[in-house]
Amino acid sequence: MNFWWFLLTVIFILWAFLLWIQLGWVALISPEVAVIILTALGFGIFAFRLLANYVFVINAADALKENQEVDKQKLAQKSGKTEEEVSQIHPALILELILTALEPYRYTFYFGFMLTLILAVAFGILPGINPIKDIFEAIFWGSALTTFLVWAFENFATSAVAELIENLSEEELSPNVPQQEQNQQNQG
Amino acid sequence: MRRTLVTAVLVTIVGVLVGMGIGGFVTYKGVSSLIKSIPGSPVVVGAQYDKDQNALVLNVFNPGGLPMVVETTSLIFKPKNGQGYALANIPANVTVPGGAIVQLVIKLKAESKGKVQIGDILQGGFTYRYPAIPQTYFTSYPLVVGKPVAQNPTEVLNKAKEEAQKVENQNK
Repeated sequence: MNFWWFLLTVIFILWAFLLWIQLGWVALISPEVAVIILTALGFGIFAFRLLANYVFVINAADALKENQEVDKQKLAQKSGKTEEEVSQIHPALILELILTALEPYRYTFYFGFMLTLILAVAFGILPGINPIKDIFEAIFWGSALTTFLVWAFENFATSAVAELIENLSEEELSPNVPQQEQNQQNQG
Repeated sequence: MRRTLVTAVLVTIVGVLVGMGIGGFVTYKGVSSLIKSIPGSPVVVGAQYDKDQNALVLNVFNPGGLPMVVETTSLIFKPKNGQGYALANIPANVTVPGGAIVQLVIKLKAESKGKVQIGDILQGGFTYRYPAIPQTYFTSYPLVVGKPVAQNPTEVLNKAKEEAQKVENQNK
């Protein structure tokens, strides 16, 4: 996607490779801690899109509260609408659209987290296989780290946009059609 | 504003819980791996004289994490009347894994078969080592024939824990 995402992916691949070849200083950490870090980084690769968009929404909502301008091009790009439509609708609604557009990614991400949770509980119940139980619990805690971050940002973004919308009046929210078209309609 | 504050409080609470969970898990694994690396003194949880085999049977429990290798066994026979004898350095290469119980069979001399009576003392001992530790340890257990011993290893560990807590409370 962008530079930071590539950096995250490179760090993840590097960490996984170091664990694989069991380089000396990596072996100083216990395997469970290493797996926690690995899973957090791995889930982070997939959470990156969600987190980047949530951060954008929070910043845009803050800017709109201070009545500053938001970058129309970015709004158009993230919400999937054309720039013309974006200039007609109030930016707060565009932010809501962006949050809705993230829904399928959010759904799959929480599904991935739920899988790790179910596996950890399932292997925790089975008797006698202690090393596997520990590894799956470590995987769960790693994914819980990243999922907690995603959940926190999602809640902040949703609450910021909700506050923005409930403070706007009706007329500000209706579509802002340019004056020329309205005059033509009146005359025609 | 209120909405964002409520969100912030909820996020903080859940964050603390997640932190506690991860911290607890990592500490638990660290401590349990430390405990597994401590050698434990073997505890004899069962002892009896087996008439058919003419042998002293000891059940040895290894409470620590490191596996223990029993190298040789020995026996001191002290009858109430008459002269006893001592056997030493009977080779026995038995490995007791951590937390497991192993049976040691120490045979008496063939001439003692049928002559062991209630009240005689059979003191069975064994030397043992741990991997990577160059020291050889020795321990023994005196059994009075007619009073066999059979304990549950978990009971033994619980009693030891109670004793340790009593000592700690006294020292406070």
